[in-house]
Amino acid sequence: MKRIASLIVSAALLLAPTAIVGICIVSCGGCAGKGQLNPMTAAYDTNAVADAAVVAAEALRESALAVFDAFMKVERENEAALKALNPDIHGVAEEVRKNGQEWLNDLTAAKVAYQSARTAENASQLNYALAAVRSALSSASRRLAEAATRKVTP
Amino acid sequence: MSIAVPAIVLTIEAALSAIETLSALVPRLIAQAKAKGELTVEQEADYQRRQQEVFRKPYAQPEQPA
Repeated sequence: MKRIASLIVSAALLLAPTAIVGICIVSCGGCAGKGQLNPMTAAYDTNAVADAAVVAAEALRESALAVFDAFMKVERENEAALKALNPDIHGVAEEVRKNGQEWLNDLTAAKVAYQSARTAENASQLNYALAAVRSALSSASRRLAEAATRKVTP
Repeated sequence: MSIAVPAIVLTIEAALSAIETLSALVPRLIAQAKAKGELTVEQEADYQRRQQEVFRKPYAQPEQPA
C-alpha cells in the first residue's frame, strides 16, 4: 500500500515536471547558472547569466524526450492490454510516434532563433513551441499515470 | 472485457516502473535549472543524437495503415 501511495505521488509529480521547473526558475529570478550560447557564432560566454527561458526550454525538451521514450515503449510492449483499459492511450502514443520528433524539433528551432536574437517576438515563438511540447508531455504523462492508478481501482 | 490477469499485471508494473524512473527526473531538472547555464554546442549535439536514437527505435515507429 505504501508503494502504491508513493507511486501515485510520483505520478502526480510526473504530470507537472515542467511546471515545477518553470516555477523554480521564475521564483529564483536570476538564480539560473552562467553560460550563454550564440548559435549563430557558436560563441559560448561562460560569464553571462543563462537565460531562464532557454534553460526552461532545454529542461522541458529533455524531460519530454524521456517521457515520450518511456511512453512509446510501455505502450508498444503492452498494446493489447492498454487498448483494452483505455483505447485513448494507443491514440496518444501514435500521435507521439508520428509527431513527437517534429514537436521537439520545433521547440529546438524556436530556442535557437531566440538565442540568435533575443527579441520579444522570438520569445513569444519560443513560448508557443514550449506550450505545444508541454501539452503533449502532459497527455503522455497522464496516460501513463492512468494506467498506473488502475491498479488501485477494483 | 476479458484480459488475462498476468497481462494486466505486467502492463501496470511496466507503467509503474516507467513513472518511478521518470519522476526521479524532476529533482534533477530543478537542480539543473538552478545550477546550469544554457547548453554548449557539444551538449546540444549530444541531445540531438539522443533524440534521433529514440525516434529510430522500433517501438517509436507508427503503425502502417492497413
